[in-house]
This record gives sequence, structure tokens and C-alpha cells, in this order.
Amino acid sequence: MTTPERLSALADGQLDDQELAAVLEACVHEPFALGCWNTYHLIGDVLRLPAHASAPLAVDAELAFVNRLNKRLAQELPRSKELAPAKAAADLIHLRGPASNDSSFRWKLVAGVASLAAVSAIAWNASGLLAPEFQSQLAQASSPQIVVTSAQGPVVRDARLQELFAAHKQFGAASALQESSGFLRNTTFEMPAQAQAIGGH
Amino acid sequence: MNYVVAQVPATAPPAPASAAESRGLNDWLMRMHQASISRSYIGTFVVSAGGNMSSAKIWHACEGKQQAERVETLTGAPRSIFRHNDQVITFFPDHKVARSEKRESLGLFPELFQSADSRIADFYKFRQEGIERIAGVDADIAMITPRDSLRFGYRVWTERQNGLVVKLQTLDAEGRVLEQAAFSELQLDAPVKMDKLVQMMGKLDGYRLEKPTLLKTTASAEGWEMKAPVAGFNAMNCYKRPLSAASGRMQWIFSDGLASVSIFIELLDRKRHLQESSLSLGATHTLTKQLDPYWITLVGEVPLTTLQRFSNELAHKK
Repeated sequence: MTTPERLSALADGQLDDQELAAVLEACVHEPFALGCWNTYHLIGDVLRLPAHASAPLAVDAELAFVNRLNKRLAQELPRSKELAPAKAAADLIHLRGPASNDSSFRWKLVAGVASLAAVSAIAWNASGLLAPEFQSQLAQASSPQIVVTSAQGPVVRDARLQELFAAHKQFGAASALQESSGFLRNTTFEMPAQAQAIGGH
Repeated sequence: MNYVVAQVPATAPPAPASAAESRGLNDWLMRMHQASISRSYIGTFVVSAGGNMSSAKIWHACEGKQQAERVETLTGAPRSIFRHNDQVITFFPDHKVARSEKRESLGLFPELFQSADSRIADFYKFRQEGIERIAGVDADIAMITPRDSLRFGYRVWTERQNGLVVKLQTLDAEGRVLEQAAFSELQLDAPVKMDKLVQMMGKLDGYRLEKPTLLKTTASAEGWEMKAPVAGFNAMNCYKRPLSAASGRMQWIFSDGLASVSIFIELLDRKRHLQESSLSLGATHTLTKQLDPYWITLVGEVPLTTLQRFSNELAHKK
């Protein structure tokens, strides 16, 4: 494991004692490691902001996060090409995947951050809906949306959209089909977003 | 660059359903509704949409007109959701937070499809399609096909004896499965005790109780209207969240009886609302649009063109 991977796993509480010792050692010797650690925590904080948290904090944190993430993305994207497309696609659909100390886990595709799997539990499919130039622009812009390329086409992660998606499922699911099975469907499915939104208390 | 929404060609609304067609679909929906309020069961429910998969264990109890439900999620962070009629409490054990809310949409039926202005059969065709075994029970298969291109179709498996929904697929115009929800195991008429579920629901010791503020309002009172209705969709509810991050966010909900659309309206914030876009997740589509000085987000289990239609008809009253 690289130092960022270890840090990411540490942020997720997934490191054993030996690895913990190694990563603490690394923090002492590698100035880069501390910055990395802060970024991971910022991500965690953004994730754990409650849905109704005061706007400025949420927005600034989100934007700062996305700005950093975009920089990291730019650095890391060439690496992602080495990944088998099928594996990359499989990883994109993790709701809350294993931490980066799991060898099968390839969230480093996006900035090497395990916690990112939780940024938005759900990847929105942009395939066929967005013009290609718009996709690339989205990927570069410091927008709250994060575009990730997968074998299934581009997918978008958007924390705010996630929130509205949850509100729609919760209060907007007005359907004769949805009355019984819909409640189950929505409680079964919507909750990853809810769990992220409510954390940190 | 803004993503330019394609012009949606106007289509004539489909011809109204015959009385027999209407009865066929409504009777089937009614039977489904009855089953959902009269059967107790324990089961495992699996939902897959757009490559995401989630599952949960369900306990469902019915006693007279009372209903209670317990849902324990098996994927993601642990959550327990308890429902007693339209009252829902979600427990987040990792954070010791419980959220209490009322789900009005659960109480809408069967009034919705029995009322005079509900014409589900005018917009969907209904036919039976044989029998299949699902989660150990024999189920009738019903196909619900849209009569126009503004909605998706459904294939629904209902338990033969009582009509409980055991599997539900949402299909696009080509018949591809966009989303699927089904029981992977089901124990019908299981001894689930209502009072026990209600008792568990009230155990808030050690939890901080949250009650999201949601005010009921009307679109008209908030200054919004639809210039023309989108065929088949009736306005259902309108809420605003006074304390939400986006101040004054409003949610206006529409339904055609089977599919629903939420229109979210908030003040435009140029820092956050950068680009108009449209995305999909399984059967759910989203569309964002700038309508100065507002930012509109549409979310619904309908084709993108339907959301475009909604966004074109939405107007702020001067």
C-alpha cells in the first residue's frame, strides 16, 4: 500500500496495528502525508454534514473539497487508464465498498480516496444525456459535480443532487404501485444517501 | 456552456380508456392495495437500479386498519426504519440519531385511483401475462404499458392468492429493465406482532430525535404555476423547507398515479449552480434548469422528455 492508501484506510478506521504504526511513521517523515490526511478528513467532514447544515460551511467545504479533488483527479487520471475497464465499472457501483486496504478496491481511480465511495452513494449515469464537450467541461470545472469515466460510460457524483433525490423518494413517491412495495423500495434504496447526510453528530 | 434541452414535440394525449379497461386496472390496483394492508410477512427485499444494489430485511404486521413495518438494511451503514401507519422513524445506530417524519404519500391510496379525476387507465394499458414463482410463492405477472411516451412501463408480480407485490420492474420504451425490486425470500402470514414493532419504534433511549421541518404550502401561494398541465400528471403536494441550506427550497410533487415527479425550486446561487444538466439513475431521471433568479431541479421516475415538458411549462407568476 502507498502512503495515501494507508491514510485513506486509516480515515476509514480500517487499519490494523502494524499498518497504523507504518502510517504514523510515514506522517513523521513525509510532509505530503499530513496534507493528504487533512484532505481525507475534509472529505469525511463534507460527507458527514447534515442535510440541513448551515449553507456557507457546507458550500465552502464542498467547493474546497472539489477544487482539491479536481487537482488530484488531474494527477491521477493517467493511472486510471491502467485499470481494467470492467473492474473500474464494478468499483463505481460500490455503495459503501471495502476500504482501500482491500486489494480489490480501486477507488484510487478517483484521487485514491476510499471515502469517496461515500461522497454520493449513487453514481448518476450521464451516458447519452450529456454532450461530450459538456462532460469534459464538467470534469475540469470546479463544479460540485464529479464526473468519473467508467466502462458503462461517464457517471456523475453530485452530493446536492443526492439530497434532492432522497427528498423525492421520501416525500414525492406518489404512486399506487409505490404504496407498499414503494415504501420498501425507497427505504431499502434511499437510505445510503440519508445515512451520509445525517452523520457527524 | 449550458446543456441545451431539446425541444419536446407536442404529442396528443392518448384516447381515454374504455370503462372495462379502467375497471380491469383499478380492480387489480385495489387488490394489490388490500393485500398490502392485510398480510403480515417477513422477507428480504432487494432493489437494483442503475448498477446500484441494496437489500433489506422486512417485518410487516397488519392488525385491523393498523399497519407497522420494520426495515433493517443489509447494505451500507446500518439503519433501522420503523413505520406505524404514516409515521416513520429512522434509527442511525452509528450516530445515535433517530429521525421522525410523517409520510403523507402513504395515505393517498386508494383514493388516488378511485377519485373521478384519476385516470390511470387512460395513460396505461394493463394485461395479465402468466404465472411465475418468486421467492417461493406463485405469482401472477401483469404488464402495465404506457399509452404515450411520457412515462415508463411496469411488470409486476403479485402473489396469486392475495395480490401482494413480490417483484416490480420498471421498463423503458424498448422493454429494457431500468430498475428492479423484489423479495428474495418471503414468509407470508408470519407471526409479526404489531405491538412489539410499535414498542421497538418508541425505544429512543440514547438517541437524539430529529424532526426535519417541512411546511405544507401550495405552489400558487409560493408564486408558481404550470402554464399547461403535463398529460396525466396531477399536482399532489407542495412543501417548503424553511431551515434548509438552500433558503426557501420548495418541493412540488406531481403524480399520474404510478409515476411521480418532484420539482425543486430554490434561489439561484452562482457559486453552486453552475451548469444545467440531466442525469439518470435506473428509472429516475433528473434535470436542472436556470430560471432567473431561480434554480430548478426536476426529479422523477419518468423519461427525460417528460421532465423537459415539466420544465417548459413551469412559470413564476408575475
